[in-house]
Amino acid sequence: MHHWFDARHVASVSLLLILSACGGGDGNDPVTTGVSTNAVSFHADAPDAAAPASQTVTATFASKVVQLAVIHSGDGVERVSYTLAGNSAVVTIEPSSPSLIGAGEYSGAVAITGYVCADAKCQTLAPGNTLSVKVTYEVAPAVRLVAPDVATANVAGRAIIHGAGFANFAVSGVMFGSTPATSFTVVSDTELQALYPALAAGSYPVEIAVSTYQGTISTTATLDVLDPVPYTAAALNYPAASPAIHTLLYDATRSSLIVATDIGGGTLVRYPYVNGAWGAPESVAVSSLKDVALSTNSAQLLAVSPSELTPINADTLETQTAIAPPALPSGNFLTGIAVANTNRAVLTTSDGTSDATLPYVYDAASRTMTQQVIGLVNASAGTSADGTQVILTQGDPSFTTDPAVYFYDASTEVISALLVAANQKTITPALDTHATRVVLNGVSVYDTIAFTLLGTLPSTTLAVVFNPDGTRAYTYDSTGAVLTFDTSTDMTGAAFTQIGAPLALAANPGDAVKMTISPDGNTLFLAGSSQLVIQPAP
Amino acid sequence: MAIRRLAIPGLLLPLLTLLGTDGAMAESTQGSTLEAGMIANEVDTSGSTSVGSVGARLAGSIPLTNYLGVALSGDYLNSSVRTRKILEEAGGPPLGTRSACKFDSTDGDIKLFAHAPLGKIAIGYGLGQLSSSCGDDSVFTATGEDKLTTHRYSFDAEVYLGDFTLAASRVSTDLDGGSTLDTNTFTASWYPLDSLRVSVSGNDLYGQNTYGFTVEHQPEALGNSLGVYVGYSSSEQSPRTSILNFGVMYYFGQNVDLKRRDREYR
Repeated sequence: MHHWFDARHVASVSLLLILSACGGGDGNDPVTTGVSTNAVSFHADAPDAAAPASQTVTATFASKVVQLAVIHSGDGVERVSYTLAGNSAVVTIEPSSPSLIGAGEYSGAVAITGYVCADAKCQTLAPGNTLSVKVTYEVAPAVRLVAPDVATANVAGRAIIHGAGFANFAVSGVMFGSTPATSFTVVSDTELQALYPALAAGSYPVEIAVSTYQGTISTTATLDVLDPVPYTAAALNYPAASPAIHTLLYDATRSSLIVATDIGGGTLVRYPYVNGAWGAPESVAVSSLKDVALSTNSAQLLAVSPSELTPINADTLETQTAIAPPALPSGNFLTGIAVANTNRAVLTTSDGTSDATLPYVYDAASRTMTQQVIGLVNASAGTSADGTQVILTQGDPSFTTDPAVYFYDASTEVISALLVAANQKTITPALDTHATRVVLNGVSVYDTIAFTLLGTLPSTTLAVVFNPDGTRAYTYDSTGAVLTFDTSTDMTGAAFTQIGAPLALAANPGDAVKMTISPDGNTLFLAGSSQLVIQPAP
Repeated sequence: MAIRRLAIPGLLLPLLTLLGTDGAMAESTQGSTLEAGMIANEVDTSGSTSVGSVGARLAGSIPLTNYLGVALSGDYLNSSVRTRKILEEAGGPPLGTRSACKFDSTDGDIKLFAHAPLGKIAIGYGLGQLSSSCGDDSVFTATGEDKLTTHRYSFDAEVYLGDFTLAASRVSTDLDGGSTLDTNTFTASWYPLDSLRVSVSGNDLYGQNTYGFTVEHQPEALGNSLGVYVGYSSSEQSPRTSILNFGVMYYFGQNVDLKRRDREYR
C-alpha cells in the first residue's frame, strides 16, 4: 500500500488543521478583572488595644476561573478569607492582634489570583493575572508603666518607663506632663529610662514624642510627685494584740502604711495618714496571708497566701478573684512576692524542707501565673523601688555550703544565678531605690553591678533599709535602737562606719520587726509584734 | 449530556472496527504494555507567576482483539505556586509571614481504541480530582470547596501517512457541575526515526490559540525500554501562558519502537 500523500502534502494539511484550531476567543480579557480598592490600612491605638475590625474588598473575575487563590504576606495580616458570589469574591482581611505583633508599622499585601485550566484535562492549573491590595497597619506606641511611680517634689530623679514601640518608632522625647525629660535612653522596644528635673508636687502623665507618628500616643503611666510628709514619731496599735508581722509597706501615693498580719488567720491592715494624723486602721481578711506587695503602678495590692495570690484594689481594699499557681506540686506553697517594674511579680515557694521548689512569675496585666524552671530552696525575694532587680536568696539551716543567690531581671524576665552565695536567714534582701546596693541576710552589702562585697553591717541587725540613693543603711539592732551606716564608700568587705549615735525609737515595736522607709528617705517605719512605730530618720 | 458526547465516537468506533475486519489491517496488537515514569511541568504566566509540578504516571494497555485495545493511565501531580513572586509584585518584598500555595492533582483515564494501518480512533473517559491548599482560604469556584472533581469525555482520531501522523481530538471536561471545557486539538507528528517523534500541535483551549511542540525519543540502544519527552506550548491569551513539559518513562512488557507504541498501544 502506497502512501496517499508525500511529505509536502502532509505538512500542508497539518498546517491547515492547526490553523483551523485558531480563532477568536472570549479570553483575551484578564482572568481576574478588578478589585474594589488597591489599599487598606489598619490602626490600633496601642499594643494592648483590641484588634481593629476586619476590612473587605471585592474582587471580580472571569467566568473561566476555576480556582481563586487569595494569599497574603506580612505579619500585620492574621488571616484572609473570602466568599464567592457569582463572579465576584468578597475578601475579608483580618488584621493581627496588636498584642501579638507589638507596636510598629507593618506592611504587607493581599494577592488575588485566578487560576484556569492549563490543559484540556484540567490536570494542571495556570495562574492568571494577580490583583493586589496593599495592606498597611500601624500599631501605635504606648506608655504603660513608670517606676518608681512616686517621686519627691523638687528633687530630680530617674524613672524606668515601660510600654511598647520605643524601638520600632523613633522616640524623640519623653515628657513628664509638660516638662521634658532631661535625657532619656531607649533600652529596648518596651523599656526606656529617663531623667527628670526637679518637679513641683503634682501628677505627671508620662508621655513620649515620636516625630514619625502623628496620632495620640496613649499612656497609663503617671508619676506622682509628692511633697515630703513631715511625719513625727508615733506608735500605732494593731487591731489585735501580738500579731505576727509578715510584711510592712509604705504606700506613698495614699500616704498609708500597710501591714500583713496573721490576725484572724490573715489580715491586711492599712493605716491612712490624713490631714496630719494617722487615721483608724482599715482591715481586709486574706486567709493565711504571708506577704503583700504593691503593683508597679500602685493600683493593686498583691496578697500572697500559701495556695493563691489575691489582688486587692489599693484604693478600696476590695479583694478580687484569687489566682492559684498552676501545677503547684502537692506540699509546695507560696511564701513571698516581689514586684518588678514590668508589673510582673516573682512569687517564691517552699515545701518546708531543704528541697528546691519552683518559683512563679505573675503578670498583673493578664492575671496569669507562670511556673519558672529554676528551683530554689526556701527562697525569699527583695526588690528595689524602681523594680529593676528582684534579688532571690535561698537556703536552709542544714546547708553546709552557701547556695547561689539569684536575680530576676525585669528587662529580660529571666531568673539567673549571681556569682554570690549566701545561706538565707530571716532577713529578706533589701535594696535602695535604684538597686545600686543590696544587703543580704541583713549584713553583707553588695553593689549590684559587679556584685562585689562592699562592706558589712553588724551581725546584731534584725531589720535593715537603705535611704533612696543607697548612701546610708539604717539597721534595727538587737539593742532596740536604729543605727546608721555610711554605705557610700567601698569598704572592700570590712565593716561600714557607723554614723552618729544609736537612735532610740519612740516606742518599742516588739519582736520580729519589719522595716521600711518613705520614698523621700525622711521617715522610717517599723512593725513588730507589739506595735507599729513611725520614726523620723536620723 | 454524556451520551450525546459519546454519540459520534460511538458511531465511528464500530465503523473503524468494521473497516479493520474488512482486511485492510495488516498489523495486530500483540500483548499488554505497562509504562511508569516521572512527569513534570512548569506553567509560567507572564506578569504573574509560575507553577512548578512534579509527579508520576502509570499507564498501560490491554489488547481486546487484534485491533481493539484498552488503554489505562493514572497521573499524580503536586504543584507549587511561587507565591513570593506574586507577593513581591503585589506589595514589594514580602516581609514576615508569607502564604504558601499548593495544588494536588490525581487523574485517571480509560480509553477504548481501535487501530488499523490507516489510523486509530478512540473514545475515553477520565476522572480527576484537584485539591488546593492556597493561603488561608482556598476554594474552587465551581464547588466552593477546596476540591474539584472533573469528568472527561474524549474522542481521538489519528490518520497515519507513512512517517507522519495527523491527529485530532476533542476533550469535553466537566468541572464538577460548573462550566464545561471543550477543547479541540490538532496534532501533526513526524517520525524521522521509528524511535523519535516530533510533534506540533494547536488547540483552542478557552477559545484561544495555543501552539506547542513535543519531541519524544525512545532510544533503541536502551532496548526501547526508556523514553523521554520534552514539550513546550504557549497560549495567545492575555496574560500569555507557556508550559514546559518533561517526562521520563520506563516501559515494561512489549518491546516495541516508539512509532509502533504510539500507533498500537497508546
